[in-house]
Amino acid sequence: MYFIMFGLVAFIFLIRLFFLQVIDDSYKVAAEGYTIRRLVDHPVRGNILDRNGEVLATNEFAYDLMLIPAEAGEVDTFLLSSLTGVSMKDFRKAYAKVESNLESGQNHSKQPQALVRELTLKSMAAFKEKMYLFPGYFLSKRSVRRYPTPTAAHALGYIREADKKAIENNPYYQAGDYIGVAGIEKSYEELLRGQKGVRKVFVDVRNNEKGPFMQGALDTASVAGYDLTTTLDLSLQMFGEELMQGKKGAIVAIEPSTGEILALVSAPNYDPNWMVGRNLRVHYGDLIKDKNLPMLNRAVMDGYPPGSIFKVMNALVGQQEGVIHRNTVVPCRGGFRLSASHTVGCHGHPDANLHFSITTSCNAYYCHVFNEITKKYPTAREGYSVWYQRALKFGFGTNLDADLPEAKGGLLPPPEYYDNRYGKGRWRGLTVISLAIGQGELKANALQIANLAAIVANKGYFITPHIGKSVKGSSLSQQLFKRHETGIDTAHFSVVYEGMYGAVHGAGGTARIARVDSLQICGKTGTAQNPHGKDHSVFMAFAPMQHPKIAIGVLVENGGFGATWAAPIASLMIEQYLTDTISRPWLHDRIRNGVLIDTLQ
Amino acid sequence: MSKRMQRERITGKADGLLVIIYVVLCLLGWLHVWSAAESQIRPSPFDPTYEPGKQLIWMGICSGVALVLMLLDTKVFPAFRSFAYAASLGLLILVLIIGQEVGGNKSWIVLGSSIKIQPSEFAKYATALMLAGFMSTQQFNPRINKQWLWVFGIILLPAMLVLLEKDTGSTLVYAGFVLALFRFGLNRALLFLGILVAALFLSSLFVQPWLLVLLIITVAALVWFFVFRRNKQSLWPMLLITAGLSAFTLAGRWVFDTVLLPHQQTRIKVLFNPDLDPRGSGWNVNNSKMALGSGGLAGKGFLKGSLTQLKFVPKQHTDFIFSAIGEQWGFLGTSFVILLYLGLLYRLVWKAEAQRSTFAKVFGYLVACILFFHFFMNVGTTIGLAPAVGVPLPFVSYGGSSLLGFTLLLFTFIKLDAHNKEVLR
Repeated sequence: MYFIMFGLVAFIFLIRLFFLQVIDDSYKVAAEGYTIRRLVDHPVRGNILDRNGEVLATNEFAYDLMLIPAEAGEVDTFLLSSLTGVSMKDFRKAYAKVESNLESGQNHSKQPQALVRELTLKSMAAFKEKMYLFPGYFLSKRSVRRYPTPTAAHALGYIREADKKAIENNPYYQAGDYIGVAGIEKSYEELLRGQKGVRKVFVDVRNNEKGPFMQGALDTASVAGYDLTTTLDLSLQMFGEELMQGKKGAIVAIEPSTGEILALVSAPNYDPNWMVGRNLRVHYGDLIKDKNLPMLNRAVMDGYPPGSIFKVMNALVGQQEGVIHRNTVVPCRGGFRLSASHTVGCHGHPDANLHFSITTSCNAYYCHVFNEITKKYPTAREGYSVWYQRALKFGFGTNLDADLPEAKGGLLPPPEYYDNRYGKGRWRGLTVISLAIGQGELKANALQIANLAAIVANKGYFITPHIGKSVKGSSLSQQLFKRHETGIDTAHFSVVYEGMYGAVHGAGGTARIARVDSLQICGKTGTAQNPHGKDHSVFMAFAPMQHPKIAIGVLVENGGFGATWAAPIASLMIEQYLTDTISRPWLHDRIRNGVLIDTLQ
Repeated sequence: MSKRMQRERITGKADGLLVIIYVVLCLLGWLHVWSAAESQIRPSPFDPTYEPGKQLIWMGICSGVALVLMLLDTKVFPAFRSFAYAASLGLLILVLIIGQEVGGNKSWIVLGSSIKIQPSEFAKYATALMLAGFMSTQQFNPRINKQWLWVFGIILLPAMLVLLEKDTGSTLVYAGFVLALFRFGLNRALLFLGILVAALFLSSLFVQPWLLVLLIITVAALVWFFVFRRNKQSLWPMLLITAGLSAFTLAGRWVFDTVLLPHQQTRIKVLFNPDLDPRGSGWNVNNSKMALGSGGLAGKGFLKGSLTQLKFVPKQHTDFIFSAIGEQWGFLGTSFVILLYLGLLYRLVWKAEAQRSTFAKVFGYLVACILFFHFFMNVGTTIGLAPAVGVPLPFVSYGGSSLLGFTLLLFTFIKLDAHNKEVLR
């Protein structure tokens, strides 16, 4: 019985195996060309929100046409072109890129590469139907960056396919991955990007997925990026961009008590959606060719001489150094005499005390202050070094450690700068006297000017200006919220408050156009000398005078006097932010419709 | 003791054929575990951090164990039976408490960082010893039904504990014990009935139950009319069996839906329609069949099986090792292994029948039937003829515990057989 049973089973098995292995060919055919495909599961990039939770950046889904060079045979590219709606010319370009990636060693031939980005839904469906004709081709779903309100392009920055350098620098990135390369997208890349997942699947010869490799034991799921809440106020940002249309320049608004950047406008600007996927091809060339440099973030660039707003800092440094006090009167009489033949000119006004010198922006007063500081010490160089160190503490010459990757420090010349230029011991305070009134070699940007306004508003300190506010599920570096002391006594600020208030509200004030009767705005105009053309219009302000809620810096290139463009813009911004209304529609219209550059078409 | 006698004591009378087949199967196993090992880059077959190297270490251990078995006195085995049985029951209970789950079964005791032991593999050996011991005692009389209750008790106790570990495969293997009992007086009608019940159960999933009941009654009526008509006494048992089978058929569907767990249901359904769940339960079997089928007549060559290299068949180094052999060596390879097994089983039954002591005889039959059942379930699964319950192919599949368990079984019998002539009748 046992012999029969064992023999019978063995016999049945042998028959079955004979059919399975020798007679039936279907398994041999099916098993041909089985390969493992490594599919990257791209994480959903974190959203970027404004301070009130309005969405600044989010994601949409799109399908990319992918290609694995090693598996791709000869295919009908004409059919592919008609299915996907991509021109033959673009296809040839895309193939050439794949080839060059292979030759440069950036990709190996078994690695999927994107051939066409963001197929339309229609062409995606058309291709899917005929996919079996294209071995080695497949679709990959990914999320694409979208900026629902096309605003704050410079602050948000953009993402880009990681280039060779980025891939070499960080093993996380592979060809086809996106990486933030500017603005918030760059500075918060690691929080926003999430964690990639990898799936390995079997693919048969007909390009069908046949199931997970090793039962998915090696697969990892992607983890979505964190949502970042920024300090930006969307409505204020959009208002600022509206005011700056047709002009070149920048606005930065900061909440003084926290250092939070409420608005960061750089004009001319562009739609951040232009930097995404297929739009990029359409617009990028125009953007980089535009002579008005729309890609430049003017709010944080090296900048221009800040002009008279710098007097505010010198008024504070002068008091701290004890060379002036609130009642010091300096005779003006049309300017500050450097020598018999040279005078730093000033407009006609009565002799000024400290308060009035700010209100009326007296040049002679600040030349005196600066000269006295340099004279107070044994050598002019020592005196200048003291002044330089104090100015540094106001954030001039530094990028302020802001979380904006493009932030530049401008120029605050260190003593060595003049040693090189004039020779050691061969320069005096009077040699560099233009620094007193914010001219000369100085360079500052709107962020530094707004920060100066914040320092005055805070009466002596500032919090690192920053644009990242919070991250749900993670935390931001405490460096962002650091308090920086300027070393100026609080008592010295009251006269500056009065002077800046007077500049807006008082008789003889340089910025009376910025006046809003219901708001106590403190401001200071500036006019940055421009050897290449019309002067730049500069203004800084904070409001309200009691418990300031907003500090602002405005720069309008070729805007002339500070009061012409920059002051009204700052005034409108402050009013919009504090009261949410515009009481002067005529001014709003004048600014909004003012065109100072040829806008691009 | 002379040197010659010493040598004889160890190997002299050991059955050469059994040992040769054992060694060939073990080496085949090691090589194909190597060819199908679950690691990304093929390690050296001697690297003890990977499966092939570990298997080699276990093979070394097993040779040592086999040698020790040959040195023992044959009286040890029956004497040792109660202790072994109790110890293995203890381990089976222990594993339920401290065991670790591996692949859905809570049947492993983990020692240290890398050694895992599966007590159910040793329980088979202990149960075989216990059963052979019980059935070789003077009191055992196959004609007394109560004695058979004891026999089934000995089998069912460990089987139930293994079932609690959710290890369906190892539980089913205990049916192999029952298979051996028919040689020793268990009513063969039971075998017929068992097969009938299994067939009815499976057909009830596909055919309307009332049609089956009609068929049962018709067959029963015909059988009674032509075979038992003259024997009036057979009427009642006949009616009883017919009624029972009919009830079972009607209840079969219900049993299937309520008693079996969903994954067990799919395993059975997939057997008849592998396309039902091609990514789930059907996946293993489908891929295993594809690997086998693509092997053709002569195979793709050792280490050249593309699907094996792709790790296309899950668990290929353990339960699906046969498919790795099939892809690399084709039909010639698979038929060689099947004939090798047939040779092993025939030789075991042949030798068991020749045993003079009842203990050795029962034990021999048990060894043959346990190995047969593993062979049947494992190869049957791989080629899609049996549900995928997950039993190893003895001596070939990766796994130290099972190799050691089967080595103990085989070499205990080889030792008993070697001393067959010394047994007085």
